[in-house]
Amino acid sequence: MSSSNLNGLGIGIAALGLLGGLIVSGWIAAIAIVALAFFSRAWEAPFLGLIVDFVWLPVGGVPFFTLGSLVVVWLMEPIRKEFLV
Amino acid sequence: MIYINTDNRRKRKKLLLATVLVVAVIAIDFLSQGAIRKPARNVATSLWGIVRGIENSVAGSGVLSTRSHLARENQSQREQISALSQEVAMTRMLQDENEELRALLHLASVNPGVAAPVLSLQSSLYGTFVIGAGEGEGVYKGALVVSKAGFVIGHVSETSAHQSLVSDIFAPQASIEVVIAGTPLTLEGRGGGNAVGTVPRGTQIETGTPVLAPSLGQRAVGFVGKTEGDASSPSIKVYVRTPMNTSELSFVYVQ
Repeated sequence: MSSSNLNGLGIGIAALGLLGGLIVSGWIAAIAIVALAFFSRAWEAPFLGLIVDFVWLPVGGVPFFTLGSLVVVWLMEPIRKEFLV
Repeated sequence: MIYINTDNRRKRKKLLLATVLVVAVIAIDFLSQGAIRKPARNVATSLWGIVRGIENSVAGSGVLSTRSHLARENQSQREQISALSQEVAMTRMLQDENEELRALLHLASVNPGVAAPVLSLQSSLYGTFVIGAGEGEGVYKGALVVSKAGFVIGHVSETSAHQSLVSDIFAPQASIEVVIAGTPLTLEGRGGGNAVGTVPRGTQIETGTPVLAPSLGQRAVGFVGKTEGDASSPSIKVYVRTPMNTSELSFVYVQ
């Protein structure tokens, strides 16, 4: 799969995660973040976490989705190196 | 190989930039007391409005009705002109809404406040939902949010001009002192309108007993859904839930 196709897929997963996170359940956004982080160095994942936190969390609350996405996306680096190109 | 390495480096750079940007946006939003998250919530509100519109259209048309509902509908349609069925469904929906507003009106005559529509389609994993009344309607941070039946379901945790973020009374990690059948206990929120607490062995608590919160003026916050533990247990676990899910609420009353 070409780089532009992967980029498109990443944005598609992020969009689905965002819609699911706002309309159905936050778990869909969480699954999308993990999926994005697993397949590539997804810059979309932290932004997805950020938007979900901004919509649902009051100011001063701990932004678990953003922090979680940052942790997952950076911690997955060795796994991606191992299994993916 | 050189191409792949360059591509990886580029992606890594993008991710690093995204990380820095996200941290900066959070910091700016925190320092400006939510100046960025309020527009984000407005966009989400528009999305919920579109989805609700689609839901109402589908419900009105009867496309996704269950088999039993369709059977009932068929029965009634024998007595009606088929062309009017859509209007009837719409009228029913408006009647439900009207009844809910009437109940809120009764609450308003007892305690002054504001009736507000629930904008979000569900409660979040943080135990929050969005209502369509804000500072412009006299809603303030900390105000109690009450269901049409008079149960306290949450409190306002953030306000903007015409909408507010409400935290569920049983949000995850929230706790509240309550009294059940004269026995005081602390309930720990579990999200989704559920909470759990423990009472000493031998305490008689029946399913369905209302749960009152002295800190909220002895108002009801839910009822006992289940108890767990027998005579040999050192304590009894009490599971409490609110009478309805956020997704079932159309309107709430803010006091």
